[in-house]
Amino acid sequence: MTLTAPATTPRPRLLSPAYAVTTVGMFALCALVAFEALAVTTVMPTVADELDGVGLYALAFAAPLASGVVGMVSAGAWSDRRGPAVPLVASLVLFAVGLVVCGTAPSMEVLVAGRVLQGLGGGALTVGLYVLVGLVFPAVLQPAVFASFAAAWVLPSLFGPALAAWVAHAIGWRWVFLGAVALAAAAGALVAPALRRVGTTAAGEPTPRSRLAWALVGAAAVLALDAFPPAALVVLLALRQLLPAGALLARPGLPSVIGTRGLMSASFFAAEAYIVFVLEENWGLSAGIAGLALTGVGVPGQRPARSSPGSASGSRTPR
Amino acid sequence: MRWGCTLLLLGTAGLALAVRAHVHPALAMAAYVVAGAGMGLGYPRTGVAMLAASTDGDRGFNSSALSIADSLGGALALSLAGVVFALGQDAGVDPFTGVYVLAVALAALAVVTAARTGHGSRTASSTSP
Repeated sequence: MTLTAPATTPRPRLLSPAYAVTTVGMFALCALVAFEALAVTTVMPTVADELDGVGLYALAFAAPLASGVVGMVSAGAWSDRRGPAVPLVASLVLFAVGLVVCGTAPSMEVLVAGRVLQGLGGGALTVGLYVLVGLVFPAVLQPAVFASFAAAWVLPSLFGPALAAWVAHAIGWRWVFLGAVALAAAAGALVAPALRRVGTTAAGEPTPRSRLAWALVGAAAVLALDAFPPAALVVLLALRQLLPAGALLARPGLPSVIGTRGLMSASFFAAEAYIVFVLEENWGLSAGIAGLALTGVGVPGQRPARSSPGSASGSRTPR
Repeated sequence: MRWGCTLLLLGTAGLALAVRAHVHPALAMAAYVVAGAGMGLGYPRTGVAMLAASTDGDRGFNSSALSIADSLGGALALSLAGVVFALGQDAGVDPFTGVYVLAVALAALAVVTAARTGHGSRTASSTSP
C-alpha cells in the first residue's frame, strides 16, 4: 500500500467499471477451460465404457496436451503479427467446436478428435488471454488478473468433478460438453468489447515456418512419452526452439522466468500425480479421504494424462 | 516468484520426509498444501514478469513460451517420475521416496532460476522502444 498516490487519479481496480466486464469474461474463460480439463476425468470412464473405447482412454487425455502445444505456438505467432483479437476469437470457436464434436461423438475415435480440437483451442485461448492482459490491464493490475486466473482453477477443482458427475447422471455425459458451449459463448461476449478496443495491430516479425514444425515435433514427442520415455529428449529439443534462447540454461531475465514456470509446474505435478497413490499405499487411506488432500489445491495448468504405469491413474478418476 | 518457489521447495521437501519417515498422513497433506500455496503465490508472478519483459512484437511468442514451459514441464516431469518410480520398484527401495526426491530437486532448481529472473525481470529486456 502506498500513501503517495495522487488523490485526483484513483488507483485502478480490477472490478472498476473500466475493467469489470473484461475481468469477469477472462475469469469465466479460464474457469471454463479448467472445468473441462477437470470434469473430463470424471466422465471419461462412463464415456469410454459407453463408446466401447477403453483402448483410447489414455489418448483422450494425452491428445489435447499435445495439440495444445501447436495451439499455443500458432496463437503466439498470429498474435504478434495481428494482435490477439482474431486469434482469441478463432481459439474460442475451435474450443467450442471441439466441445460439440465430443458431445455428439458416435465413437471414441471421434471423441479423441474432439479432444484434439479442444486442446488446440484451449492452448491458443490461454496464450491469447495472456497477451490481452498485457494490452488491456496496466502493470499494477496484472498481478491481480493473473491471481484471478489461478483462482479460476480453484473453483472448478472444488466443484467441477461433482458438477460433472451430477450433469452426467441427470441428463447424460454428452451435456458435460454441450452445456459448456453456451458458457463459452457468454464468456466470449463479455471479452468482445476489450477485443474490439485492442484491434488488430502488432509489431512482430513473421514467425518462421520451422517453429510451427517444431511445435508438431514436440506434440508428437509428448504423445510418445508415455510408451517411450526417452522421447523426452525430443521434447527438450523442441523446447529449445519454442522458448526464448537460453530458457533451458536459465539465462538471467526472461529466459529464467520461463524456466522457473516450467520447473514449478514440473515439481508440483510430479508431487500431485502421486499424492493420492502414496496416501493410499503407504498410509492405507481410502481414495476418498486421500482425495481430500487434492480438493481445493487447484493449480492452473493442463492436467497431463495420468496413464503412466504406477501413476495415480484411476485413483483420481472417481469410479 | 522467489517466495513461491521457496514454499514449493519446503512443501515438496516436507512430503519427501513424510514419505521417508512415515509420519502421520496429516503432515504429508499439510506439506502438500504448502506446496500448493507456493504455486498459488509464484504462478501469477511468472505471468507478470513475462509481460514486463515483453514488447508489442514478442508478447505473443513469450506468452506461448510460458504456456508451453508450463504444460510440457509437467508432462516431462510425469514421465520422469514414472521412470524413477519403476526404477525404485526394481531396486527394491520405496519408489515414492524417489518420486518426491525428484520433486524436491525440481523445486530446488526453480528456486535457483527464480533468483535469476532479475527483480521482476524489468532489467532483462529493455529493448522496447
